[in-house]
Amino acid sequence: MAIPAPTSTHKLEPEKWVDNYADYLFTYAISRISDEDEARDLVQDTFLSALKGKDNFKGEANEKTWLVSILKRKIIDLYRKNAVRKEQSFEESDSYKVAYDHYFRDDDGSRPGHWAGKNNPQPWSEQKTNLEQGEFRRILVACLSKLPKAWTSVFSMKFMDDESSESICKELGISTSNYWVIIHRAKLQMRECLEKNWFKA
Amino acid sequence: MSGDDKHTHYFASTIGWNLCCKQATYLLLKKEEVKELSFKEEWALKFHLSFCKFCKLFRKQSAILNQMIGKTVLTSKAQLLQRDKDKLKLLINSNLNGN
Ligand SMILES: [Zn+2]
Repeated sequence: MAIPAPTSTHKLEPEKWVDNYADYLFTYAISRISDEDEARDLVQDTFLSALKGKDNFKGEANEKTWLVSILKRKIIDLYRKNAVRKEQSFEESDSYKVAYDHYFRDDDGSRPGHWAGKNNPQPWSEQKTNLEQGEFRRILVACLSKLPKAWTSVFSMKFMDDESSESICKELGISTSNYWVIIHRAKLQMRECLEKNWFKA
Repeated sequence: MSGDDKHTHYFASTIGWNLCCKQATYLLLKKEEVKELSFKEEWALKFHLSFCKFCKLFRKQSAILNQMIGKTVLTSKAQLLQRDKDKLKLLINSNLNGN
Protein backbone atom coordinates (compact mmCIF):
# COMPACT_ATOMS: atom_id res chain seq x y z
CA MET A 1 0.00 0.00 0.00
CA ALA A 2 1.34 3.38 -0.98
CA ILE A 3 1.96 5.80 1.81
CA PRO A 4 0.38 9.17 1.05
CA ALA A 5 2.81 12.03 0.88
CA PRO A 6 2.70 14.18 4.01
CA THR A 7 1.53 17.29 2.26
CA SER A 8 -1.41 19.46 3.07
CA THR A 9 -3.83 18.56 0.32
CA HIS A 10 -5.91 21.71 0.44
CA LYS A 11 -4.80 24.86 -1.25
CA LEU A 12 -6.38 28.19 -1.99
CA GLU A 13 -7.47 29.42 -5.38
CA PRO A 14 -8.82 32.92 -4.81
CA GLU A 15 -9.46 33.46 -8.54
CA LYS A 16 -12.18 30.82 -8.33
CA TRP A 17 -13.75 31.84 -5.04
CA VAL A 18 -16.57 33.87 -6.52
CA ASP A 19 -17.65 31.16 -8.95
CA ASN A 20 -17.28 28.37 -6.45
CA TYR A 21 -18.47 29.82 -3.17
CA ALA A 22 -20.16 33.20 -3.50
CA ASP A 23 -23.69 31.79 -3.75
CA TYR A 24 -23.08 29.32 -0.98
CA LEU A 25 -21.74 31.96 1.38
CA PHE A 26 -24.54 34.32 0.44
CA THR A 27 -27.14 31.64 1.19
CA TYR A 28 -25.43 30.89 4.46
CA ALA A 29 -25.39 34.53 5.46
CA ILE A 30 -28.88 35.43 4.35
CA SER A 31 -30.48 32.56 6.20
CA ARG A 32 -28.86 33.81 9.38
CA ILE A 33 -29.31 37.54 9.21
CA SER A 34 -32.26 37.79 6.81
CA ASP A 35 -31.04 41.04 5.34
CA GLU A 36 -29.86 40.89 1.73
CA ASP A 37 -27.68 43.97 1.82
CA GLU A 38 -25.93 42.95 4.98
CA ALA A 39 -25.49 39.42 3.63
CA ARG A 40 -23.90 40.74 0.44
CA ASP A 41 -21.52 42.91 2.46
CA LEU A 42 -20.60 39.97 4.64
CA VAL A 43 -19.67 37.86 1.63
CA GLN A 44 -17.42 40.63 0.41
CA ASP A 45 -15.85 41.10 3.85
CA THR A 46 -15.29 37.37 4.07
CA PHE A 47 -13.36 37.30 0.81
CA LEU A 48 -11.31 40.32 1.82
CA SER A 49 -10.44 38.87 5.22
CA ALA A 50 -9.60 35.58 3.56
CA LEU A 51 -7.22 37.30 1.15
CA LYS A 52 -5.57 39.10 4.01
CA GLY A 53 -5.22 35.93 5.99
CA LYS A 54 -4.38 33.55 3.19
CA ASP A 55 -0.80 33.08 4.38
CA ASN A 56 -2.19 31.67 7.61
CA PHE A 57 -4.15 29.02 5.78
CA LYS A 58 -2.63 25.72 6.83
CA GLY A 59 -4.49 23.48 4.44
CA GLU A 60 -5.96 21.40 7.25
CA ALA A 61 -9.52 22.24 6.31
CA ASN A 62 -10.68 22.61 2.77
CA GLU A 63 -11.11 26.00 1.24
CA LYS A 64 -14.88 26.06 1.61
CA THR A 65 -14.85 25.12 5.30
CA TRP A 66 -12.22 27.75 5.90
CA LEU A 67 -14.23 30.47 4.17
CA VAL A 68 -17.37 29.49 6.05
CA SER A 69 -15.51 29.70 9.34
CA ILE A 70 -14.48 33.26 8.50
CA LEU A 71 -18.03 34.18 7.54
CA LYS A 72 -19.36 32.63 10.70
CA ARG A 73 -17.02 34.73 12.80
CA LYS A 74 -18.31 37.84 11.03
CA ILE A 75 -21.92 36.89 11.57
CA ILE A 76 -21.29 36.46 15.29
CA ASP A 77 -19.59 39.85 15.40
CA LEU A 78 -22.66 41.32 13.80
CA TYR A 79 -24.92 39.53 16.28
CA ARG A 80 -22.85 40.93 19.12
CA LYS A 81 -23.09 44.41 17.70
CA ASN A 82 -26.86 44.05 17.43
CA ALA A 83 -27.07 42.80 20.99
CA VAL A 84 -25.13 45.82 22.24
CA ARG A 85 -27.18 48.20 20.16
CA LYS A 86 -30.28 46.62 21.63
CA GLU A 87 -29.18 47.52 25.13
CA GLN A 88 -28.35 51.03 24.12
CA SER A 89 -31.68 51.78 22.57
CA PHE A 90 -34.10 49.15 23.70
CA GLU A 91 -37.21 50.79 22.34
CA GLU A 92 -36.03 51.53 18.86
CA SER A 93 -34.68 48.11 17.93
CA ASP A 94 -37.63 46.35 19.50
CA SER A 95 -40.26 47.79 17.24
CA TYR A 96 -41.21 44.34 15.99
CA LYS A 97 -41.19 42.67 19.34
CA VAL A 98 -44.54 41.10 20.02
CA ALA A 99 -45.51 41.38 23.68
CA TYR A 100 -46.48 38.37 25.75
CA ASP A 101 -49.99 39.70 26.19
CA HIS A 102 -50.50 39.27 22.47
CA TYR A 103 -50.69 35.55 23.28
CA PHE A 104 -51.44 35.16 26.96
CA ARG A 105 -53.91 36.66 29.41
CA ASP A 106 -52.75 39.39 31.70
CA ASP A 107 -50.92 38.37 34.82
CA ASP A 108 -53.40 40.35 36.90
CA GLY A 109 -56.69 39.21 35.38
CA SER A 110 -58.59 35.95 35.57
CA ARG A 111 -56.78 32.76 34.50
CA PRO A 112 -53.50 34.70 34.24
CA GLY A 113 -50.97 33.47 31.69
CA HIS A 114 -53.39 31.20 29.83
CA TRP A 115 -53.85 31.44 26.08
CA ALA A 116 -55.81 34.62 25.49
CA GLY A 117 -57.90 33.46 22.55
CA LYS A 118 -57.38 35.18 19.26
CA ASN A 119 -53.78 34.10 18.69
CA ASN A 120 -54.04 30.57 20.03
CA PRO A 121 -52.41 27.80 18.01
CA GLN A 122 -54.74 26.47 15.33
CA PRO A 123 -54.58 23.11 13.57
CA TRP A 124 -52.31 23.14 10.52
CA SER A 125 -52.91 21.90 7.04
CA GLU A 126 -51.30 18.45 6.69
CA GLN A 127 -49.95 19.00 3.23
CA LYS A 128 -48.20 22.22 4.21
CA THR A 129 -45.97 20.27 6.59
CA ASN A 130 -44.69 18.29 3.62
CA LEU A 131 -42.07 20.67 2.52
CA GLU A 132 -42.31 22.68 -0.66
CA GLN A 133 -38.87 24.20 -0.58
CA GLY A 134 -38.90 27.53 -2.35
CA GLU A 135 -42.11 29.02 -1.07
CA PHE A 136 -41.69 27.95 2.53
CA ARG A 137 -38.18 29.32 2.57
CA ARG A 138 -39.36 32.70 1.34
CA ILE A 139 -41.95 32.90 4.09
CA LEU A 140 -39.54 31.65 6.71
CA VAL A 141 -37.11 34.41 5.80
CA ALA A 142 -39.89 36.99 5.85
CA CYS A 143 -40.99 35.87 9.33
CA LEU A 144 -37.41 35.82 10.60
CA SER A 145 -36.89 39.35 9.38
CA LYS A 146 -39.74 40.51 11.62
CA LEU A 147 -38.01 39.37 14.78
CA PRO A 148 -35.86 41.85 16.66
CA LYS A 149 -32.32 41.36 15.33
CA ALA A 150 -30.90 40.05 18.56
CA TRP A 151 -33.55 37.33 18.60
CA THR A 152 -32.85 36.36 15.00
CA SER A 153 -29.26 35.72 16.01
CA VAL A 154 -30.21 33.42 18.84
CA PHE A 155 -32.85 31.72 16.74
CA SER A 156 -30.57 31.06 13.77
CA MET A 157 -27.69 29.81 15.86
CA LYS A 158 -29.97 27.36 17.60
CA PHE A 159 -32.14 26.11 14.77
CA MET A 160 -29.87 26.48 11.78
CA ASP A 161 -26.44 25.88 13.23
CA ASP A 162 -27.60 23.45 15.87
CA GLU A 163 -25.46 25.12 18.48
CA SER A 164 -25.92 24.36 22.15
CA SER A 165 -27.38 26.93 24.50
CA GLU A 166 -24.06 27.16 26.33
CA SER A 167 -22.09 28.10 23.25
CA ILE A 168 -24.74 30.56 22.07
CA CYS A 169 -24.82 32.29 25.45
CA LYS A 170 -21.05 32.42 25.49
CA GLU A 171 -20.68 33.76 21.97
CA LEU A 172 -23.38 36.38 22.37
CA GLY A 173 -22.72 37.21 25.99
CA ILE A 174 -26.24 36.60 27.30
CA SER A 175 -27.39 34.79 30.44
CA THR A 176 -28.98 31.35 30.25
CA SER A 177 -32.30 32.53 31.60
CA ASN A 178 -32.38 35.40 29.16
CA TYR A 179 -31.59 32.90 26.41
CA TRP A 180 -34.68 30.83 27.26
CA VAL A 181 -36.90 33.89 27.35
CA ILE A 182 -35.64 34.89 23.90
CA ILE A 183 -36.19 31.37 22.53
CA HIS A 184 -39.67 31.35 24.02
CA ARG A 185 -40.71 34.69 22.58
CA ALA A 186 -39.06 34.13 19.22
CA LYS A 187 -40.73 30.74 18.88
CA LEU A 188 -44.15 32.13 19.79
CA GLN A 189 -43.76 34.83 17.20
CA MET A 190 -42.35 32.56 14.49
CA ARG A 191 -45.05 29.98 15.08
CA GLU A 192 -47.75 32.58 14.72
CA CYS A 193 -46.22 34.20 11.66
CA LEU A 194 -45.72 30.88 9.88
CA GLU A 195 -49.18 29.73 10.82
CA LYS A 196 -50.78 32.83 9.36
CA ASN A 197 -48.69 32.84 6.21
CA TRP A 198 -48.04 29.20 5.51
CA PHE A 199 -49.63 26.52 7.64
CA LYS A 200 -53.13 27.87 7.86
CA ALA A 201 -55.51 25.01 7.14
CA MET B 1 -35.23 46.45 34.68
CA SER B 2 -35.29 45.90 30.95
CA GLY B 3 -38.07 43.94 29.27
CA ASP B 4 -36.35 40.59 29.08
CA ASP B 5 -35.05 40.79 32.64
CA LYS B 6 -38.58 41.25 33.85
CA HIS B 7 -39.64 38.04 32.09
CA THR B 8 -36.57 36.15 33.20
CA HIS B 9 -37.56 36.99 36.72
CA TYR B 10 -41.11 35.85 36.04
CA PHE B 11 -40.05 32.36 34.99
CA ALA B 12 -37.39 31.98 37.63
CA SER B 13 -39.63 32.85 40.53
CA THR B 14 -43.11 31.62 39.80
CA ILE B 15 -42.96 28.12 38.39
CA GLY B 16 -45.01 25.96 40.72
CA TRP B 17 -47.12 22.83 40.32
CA ASN B 18 -49.93 24.62 38.62
CA LEU B 19 -48.65 26.05 35.37
CA CYS B 20 -50.27 28.62 33.17
CA CYS B 21 -49.84 28.32 29.39
CA LYS B 22 -47.12 30.95 29.33
CA GLN B 23 -45.04 28.86 31.69
CA ALA B 24 -45.96 25.57 30.07
CA THR B 25 -44.86 26.70 26.60
CA TYR B 26 -41.66 28.10 28.10
CA LEU B 27 -40.89 24.79 29.79
CA LEU B 28 -41.69 22.64 26.82
CA LEU B 29 -39.34 24.64 24.62
CA LYS B 30 -36.67 24.30 27.26
CA LYS B 31 -37.31 20.59 27.37
CA GLU B 32 -36.71 20.28 23.62
CA GLU B 33 -33.13 21.11 24.27
CA VAL B 34 -32.16 20.19 27.80
CA LYS B 35 -34.15 16.93 27.75
CA GLU B 36 -34.40 16.82 31.52
CA LEU B 37 -36.26 19.41 33.50
CA SER B 38 -36.38 19.41 37.28
CA PHE B 39 -38.69 16.86 38.86
CA LYS B 40 -41.24 19.51 39.71
CA GLU B 41 -41.13 21.14 36.27
CA GLU B 42 -41.43 17.77 34.57
CA TRP B 43 -44.57 16.78 36.47
CA ALA B 44 -46.17 20.18 36.37
CA LEU B 45 -45.71 20.19 32.59
CA LYS B 46 -47.06 16.69 32.21
CA PHE B 47 -50.11 17.61 34.22
CA HIS B 48 -50.73 20.80 32.24
CA LEU B 49 -50.43 19.00 28.91
CA SER B 50 -52.93 16.40 30.06
CA PHE B 51 -55.75 18.91 29.78
CA CYS B 52 -54.55 21.88 27.73
CA LYS B 53 -55.16 21.23 24.04
CA PHE B 54 -53.53 24.48 22.90
CA CYS B 55 -50.25 23.80 24.63
CA LYS B 56 -50.33 20.26 23.30
CA LEU B 57 -50.82 21.65 19.82
CA PHE B 58 -48.04 24.15 20.42
CA ARG B 59 -45.68 21.33 21.36
CA LYS B 60 -46.51 19.37 18.25
CA GLN B 61 -46.14 22.40 15.98
CA SER B 62 -42.92 23.44 17.59
CA ALA B 63 -41.41 20.05 16.75
CA ILE B 64 -42.62 20.35 13.15
CA LEU B 65 -41.05 23.80 12.91
CA ASN B 66 -37.70 22.62 14.25
CA GLN B 67 -37.59 19.94 11.62
CA MET B 68 -38.69 22.13 8.75
CA ILE B 69 -36.43 25.03 9.62
CA GLY B 70 -33.41 22.74 9.83
CA LYS B 71 -34.14 21.13 6.47
CA THR B 72 -34.94 24.34 4.68
CA VAL B 73 -31.70 26.05 5.43
CA LEU B 74 -29.60 23.06 4.52
CA THR B 75 -31.09 22.60 1.10
CA SER B 76 -32.25 25.98 -0.10
CA LYS B 77 -30.19 28.26 -2.25
CA ALA B 78 -29.97 31.98 -2.69
CA GLN B 79 -28.05 33.57 -5.54
CA LEU B 80 -26.04 36.70 -5.84
CA LEU B 81 -26.65 38.80 -8.90
CA GLN B 82 -24.11 38.45 -11.69
CA ARG B 83 -23.43 42.15 -11.30
CA ASP B 84 -22.42 41.64 -7.68
CA LYS B 85 -20.29 38.66 -8.58
CA ASP B 86 -18.43 40.64 -11.19
CA LYS B 87 -17.76 43.32 -8.62
CA LEU B 88 -16.42 40.73 -6.19
CA LYS B 89 -14.15 39.22 -8.84
CA LEU B 90 -12.75 42.61 -9.66
CA LEU B 91 -12.11 43.28 -6.01
CA ILE B 92 -10.36 39.96 -5.47
CA ASN B 93 -8.23 40.30 -8.58
CA SER B 94 -7.14 43.82 -7.76
CA ASN B 95 -6.24 42.61 -4.28
CA LEU B 96 -4.24 39.69 -5.64
CA ASN B 97 -2.36 41.87 -8.08
CA GLY B 98 -1.85 44.68 -5.63
CA ASN B 99 -0.10 42.54 -3.05
ZN1 LIG C 1 -51.77 25.55 28.21
